[in-house]
Parts: sequence; structure tokens; C-alpha cells
Amino acid sequence: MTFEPRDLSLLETLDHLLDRGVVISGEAVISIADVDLLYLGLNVILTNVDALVERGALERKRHE
Amino acid sequence: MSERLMLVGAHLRAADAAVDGVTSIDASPLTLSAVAFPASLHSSDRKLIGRTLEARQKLIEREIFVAIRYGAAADTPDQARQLALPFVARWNELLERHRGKIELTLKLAPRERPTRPRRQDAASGRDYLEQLQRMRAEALSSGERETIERRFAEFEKRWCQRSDGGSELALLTSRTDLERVRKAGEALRQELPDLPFVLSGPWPLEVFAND
Repeated sequence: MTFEPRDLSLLETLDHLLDRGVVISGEAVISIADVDLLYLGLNVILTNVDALVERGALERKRHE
Repeated sequence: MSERLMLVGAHLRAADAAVDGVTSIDASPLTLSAVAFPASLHSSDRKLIGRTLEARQKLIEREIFVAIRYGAAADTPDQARQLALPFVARWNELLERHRGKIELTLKLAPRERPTRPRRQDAASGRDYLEQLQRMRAEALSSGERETIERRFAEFEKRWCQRSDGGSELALLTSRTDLERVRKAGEALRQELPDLPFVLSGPWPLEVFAND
């Protein structure tokens, strides 16, 4: 599948908004086509498992 | 009609957050940026997400800031300050250190459908996740990884793994170095023409905000 540069940029920007940056507190709903798929109520960490594993490894390094 | 505040970022100077469509909140010594929205609106509202995206883009044109992940909303400026309070000292140090810089992302798509370890082979949930992480990390050959690191040797770097099996290299560099990063990307594309990647930015402190 190919994307027009504008679409690629929008997807990339959205990816950064939803999956990057510091998690402090809040709530988030991931929705596609106006259908709420996943509600995360707070203080959870909104991230993927890989990121959690990576953070765990970093924490272990800091304590070694 | 009551409003809520969707937090966008933390900024070293108030002027850095002074852009149209953005509410500034004093969180001395920092300033928080937020997008005000009707309390009746849910955070999944498409227009609210669009307004937040737009605010983020305008803010990064000004100066680097610490990106707050979408979803952190407050009822009042005081509540926003309370949410940010535990982080302010560390963010202040980061922003002082990285002023004038930007983050960029080199996103490498997985070539094959990501595979997962067999659950039965894992001694525990943690063991499973660590096996999964190793498997994903191996998706990029060591030769490719070395080539990428050589091409971007002059920039600060952090490798990240994505849940889709792809890898990502976050770069931190001076705002004036954008052209050099772009040229490094072009050189990488010539050296590894079969490697699918997207180089994008400028971004605020996202990966490096966790230092």
C-alpha cells in the first residue's frame, strides 16, 4: 500500500500524539471510524508491552 | 458551558507556549500548554484530536518542549499544575539541557509479519515478554543496524522497538541540523535501498523525555 505524502504525514503525526511523550495522567479512548475500541481510564500507563519491557530493562540498568 | 484542558506539553518559557489555539498555564518555573475543549466532549472526539495535533505542530515550530501523551486532561489550570508537579524539576533540567534541539524519528518497517515466541516455552510472563523483545530486536540485521548507526553517528540516538515488529531510531539534534539529518537519510537510502524506512520530524521531546 502506498500513501500520499500528506496522508503519511498525518498518520505519522497521529502516531506520535497517541504513542509518544510522557504519560502523566488522564484518559484516552482509541477509536476508529467513530467507534470507541478501547477505553483506558486512569492512572494507567498507555503504552505497548514492548515499551514496558524496554523501560523495565532501562530501570534494571539504572540499579546495577 | 464548562471547559476542560487537554495538556499538550511543558515549556521552558511562557513565550514558547504563546501560540493561537493554545492555553498557557503557569507551572513555575515551566509553562504548560493545553487545548481547551467543552467538558461535554470526549477525548476521542476527532476534532479535539485534530486541534491537539495542530497545537503540537505550532508549538514545535517555536521551541522544543516536553510532549505530554494525549489523554491527560484537567478540569482546571490548578488541577493541570498538580498533574505536572511531580515532573516539573526533571522537565526543567531536560529543557535547559536540550534548548534549541529537536527530536527526529527514523521508523523502520518490519519486512515480515512479526513472529511471537511460544507461550509454552516461557517460564513466566516476564520471560515471555523478554523473549518477545529479543525476537523483535533481531528483526533488523546487525549489519543494517551498524550502517544506520554509522550514517547517524554524529547525532544523539535511542533505539526503540515497536509493537508492530518495526524498529525506531529516535535522534536528538540541533534545530539547525535538519538538513544534515535529511542528507544522512538520503545516504542511508542509497546504501540500503531495500530497507523500508521513514524519516520524520521535527518532534518535541518524546523518547528523550524519558531520560
